[in-house]
Amino acid sequence: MTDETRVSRRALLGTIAVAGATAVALTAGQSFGVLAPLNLFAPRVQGYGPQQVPVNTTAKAAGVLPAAESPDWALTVRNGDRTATFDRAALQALPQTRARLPIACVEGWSTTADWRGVRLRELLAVVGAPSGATVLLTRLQPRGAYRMTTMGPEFAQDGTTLVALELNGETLDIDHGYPARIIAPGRPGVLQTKWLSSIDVTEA
Amino acid sequence: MIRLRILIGAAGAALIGLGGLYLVQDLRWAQLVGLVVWLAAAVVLHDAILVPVVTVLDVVLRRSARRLPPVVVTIVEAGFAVGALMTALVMPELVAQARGTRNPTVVPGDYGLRLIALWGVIVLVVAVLSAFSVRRARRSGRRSG
Repeated sequence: MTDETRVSRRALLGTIAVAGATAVALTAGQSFGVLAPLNLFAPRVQGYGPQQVPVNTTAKAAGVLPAAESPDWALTVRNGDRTATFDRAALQALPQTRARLPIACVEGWSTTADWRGVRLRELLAVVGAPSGATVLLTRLQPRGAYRMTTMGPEFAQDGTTLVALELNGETLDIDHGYPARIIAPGRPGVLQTKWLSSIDVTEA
Repeated sequence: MIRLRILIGAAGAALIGLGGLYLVQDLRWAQLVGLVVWLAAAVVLHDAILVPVVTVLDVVLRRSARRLPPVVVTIVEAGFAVGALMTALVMPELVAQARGTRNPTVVPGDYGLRLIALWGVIVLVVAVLSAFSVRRARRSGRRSG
């Protein structure tokens, strides 16, 4: 080969740079708001879904129906032999806190939303859980991965960690975890337990 | 120098070995088979499809247009590489759409149409850059000749 017919190193690196920049520019918008208008090819779209938040597992797929829609639903909070139960009306009667937090999925997308509900630490205080308590969160789902999640005190005591009842100003959609779900800062989406059934103090 | 290279190579081989060990420990057999198929498909896609197309493109361009400056060939090939990468990225989404998704918020876009539009934009950009390069080459050719 003569020099003229060979691809130069500069051309090769330039091509790789342009291809990489194109791929990032046209897909990163599924989690990076600045690039959202350029998001042509990512598998998810920010703000696209019920209540402007994408869904990973639907209520139907999780097998939580009809339990999640039952008027008999109640959240059980346990600390040893101290137990408290709250139905949705009881949770709504408690002081409500707002938090603006993202759902950040390990699949690579994230969408920030406005959440409203009861601070987890206020529910834990009702059963006398100490501030260093680690809690086990269980969802209605009869089986499957991530049915139960452990949450350390660094998250459980955070003022923005909520048992959320509302999402973007509306009653939580069934696919977003109605009647109540966990939303905490800095946790992957799979650990933001939906269709919450019980909260147990496991370690004080 | 050679000792340093051996050292770096050994460290790399050790890391790869460690990765392989974790892979076998953490994945089930079906997952391992899926992973091997996926990696092999990338090699097949590159060596059996992309490289032959680029080679033919290269030969055709150089034979049929000897008077074109070499930079034009580079621009066309770079445009093809960008388009091929984005096509490889979008194809699984089209397959996923055809097979049906878990819920409507997964792969919701009109990806096929957008991919065609992207190829159109690439052709346009390649054409503009090529025309610009040819003009510049002719101008400098006149100046030196």
